[in-house]
Amino acid sequence: MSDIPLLEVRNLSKHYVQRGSLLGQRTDVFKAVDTVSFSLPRGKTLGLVGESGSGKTTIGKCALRLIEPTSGQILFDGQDITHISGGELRRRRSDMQMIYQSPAASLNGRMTIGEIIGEPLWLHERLRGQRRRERVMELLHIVGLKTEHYYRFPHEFSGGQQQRVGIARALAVKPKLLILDEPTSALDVSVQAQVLNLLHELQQQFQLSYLFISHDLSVVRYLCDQVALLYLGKVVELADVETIFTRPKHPYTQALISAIPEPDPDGGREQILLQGDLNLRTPKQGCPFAPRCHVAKLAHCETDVPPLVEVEARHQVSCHLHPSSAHSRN
Amino acid sequence: MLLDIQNLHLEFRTFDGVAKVLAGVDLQMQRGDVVGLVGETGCGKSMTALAIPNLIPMPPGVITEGRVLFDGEDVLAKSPAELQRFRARHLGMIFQDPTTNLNPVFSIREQLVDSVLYQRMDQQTVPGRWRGWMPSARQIRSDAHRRAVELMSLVGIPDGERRIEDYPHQFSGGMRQRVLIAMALAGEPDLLIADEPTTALDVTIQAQILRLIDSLVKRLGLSVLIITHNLGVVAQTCQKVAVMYAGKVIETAPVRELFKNPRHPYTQGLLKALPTSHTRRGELEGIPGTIPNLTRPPEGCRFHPRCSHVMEVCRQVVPPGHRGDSDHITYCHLYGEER
Repeated sequence: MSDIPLLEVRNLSKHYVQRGSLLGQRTDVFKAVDTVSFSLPRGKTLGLVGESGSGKTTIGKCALRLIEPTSGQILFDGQDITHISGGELRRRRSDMQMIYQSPAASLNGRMTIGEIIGEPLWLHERLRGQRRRERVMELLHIVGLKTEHYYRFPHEFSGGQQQRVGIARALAVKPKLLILDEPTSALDVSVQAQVLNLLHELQQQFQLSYLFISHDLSVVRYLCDQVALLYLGKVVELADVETIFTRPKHPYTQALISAIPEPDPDGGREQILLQGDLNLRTPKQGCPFAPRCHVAKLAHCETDVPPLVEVEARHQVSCHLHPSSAHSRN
Repeated sequence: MLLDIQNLHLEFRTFDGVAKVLAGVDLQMQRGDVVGLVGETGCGKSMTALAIPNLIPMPPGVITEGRVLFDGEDVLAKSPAELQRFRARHLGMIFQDPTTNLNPVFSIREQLVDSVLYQRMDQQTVPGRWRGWMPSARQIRSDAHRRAVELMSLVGIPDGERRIEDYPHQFSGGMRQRVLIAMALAGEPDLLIADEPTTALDVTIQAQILRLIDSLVKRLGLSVLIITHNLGVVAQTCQKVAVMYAGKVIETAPVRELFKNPRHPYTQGLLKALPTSHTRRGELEGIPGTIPNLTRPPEGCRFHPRCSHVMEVCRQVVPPGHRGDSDHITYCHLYGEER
């Protein structure tokens, strides 16, 4: 039972059709997520990392079925949830919750904290009255807020406290999976540290699994067990967190890690400076990263899409420079 | 000394009372310095930067005390006309969000040429009888256009001749920030104020922009004031750092000294709160508590409610600056008594 990963995503794709002209004759398919596969073991944290436009939030929302995927399969707890609907989906959703980037925007300003945290308890468990109040108080305590905050409104809180409210609301239905979409990028460092510690404690306490979406690599290194790097909707590298940071194989991963400004003036690390930027209108053929790649280009970089292959145990890379032993051509 | 901010006090008169946004900011910059101004949301770092070109909205803002000296001249005492000339000739500013600082309905050419013309404002007034002697409006415009293209290549936008006709939406975030840097450089400023220049950008683009600022400092002899909350950015680009908390500079030091030997408890806390490659999970230390409400700031040292070394004196007396060795100034009661 516990061998089955909590969340498994197989060949997930989400395509958006863009109409080229006003008359709709030329249509263009934008692949926001392109055949992404990963699995998230119980009680672990998988980091989805990428620049803006790489599709990381779309994957998170597809996993919850907040966005309908174009193709692919989503397995939650071994059950295929790609096509379930109605009450079944709603019941499943109580096992998976989402926490958003902007705490202020994700809390209803006209509801008190008690109402915000209590709402999922009513929706999923039909709890109300005194019993709901008690549960909310308990949740406030768990996330480090005080009982007297029950009747306050979101605007009376600082960003860090608002994010705690968001976490309490997500925890209300006792989920197994939390999808954290940039949970600390709107917060200051001193507060970010508090929230990261809270997330770590909650994971230990409730055996939660996290899908952690972030662009901040130092936070990812701190909190995640596994990391998937995304570039234009494709996974370019997937491995354990230490492997990614100490032995990155894909040129993009290497550049990204070298570009983090280390808070150490003597951190004499050679920076790989990428040319250009992430262009959503990439060529249809070849490796999506090829136009920015700083490593010597192979002939087939611009014609063949590199497959995601396992170069060593639990380390997948999608790059022509690292063909798996079975697939190497010459 | 290029910039000398002395004991600057700024208040905002709001409906909730008087917010004491800046409470005695001291900041010095020499020509050619790259200084980082670091602090969390609401600590007054942007307000300090806006005080340099005297751009603080007044009302509701009131500067109650202090001076801002730029090259020895008091900026706050200048008349509006002098201020306009001063801003055009000596200052360049870039902001966090490159998208909202460009007008979407004008091409880059129009906006960039405008800023070049603005800084040549007094040269281009051609009164009637001098018309034959002075360059014509067309001449001025084509000069400005040439200069604009030059600026584009200076900030590393390839194919400037053609791209200058494009509109802001045709540029990516990083390229827009480059355009804004080009605008800021139009007047060959002495000081470039960069307010969170890379916060809205991805890391790989951030690295490009920081590299660009670095090369401009070397090539043009610019002085730069970088305002950021990212200590990593400071460590990689600045020579000197000033750390702000709740409207006061609490520590200034050369960059190596600050990261090696932080003295103020807030700076120490800030550095410990950053996850680095050596931090084990669950061992990250935040700073307890939250930033104070500036309409009712704590007495004495404004950091004392969150400080782990709090003493009786901290609750009553604002700590004076204590100069340790090598330009390391700390505004904390822990230092100074012994010396």
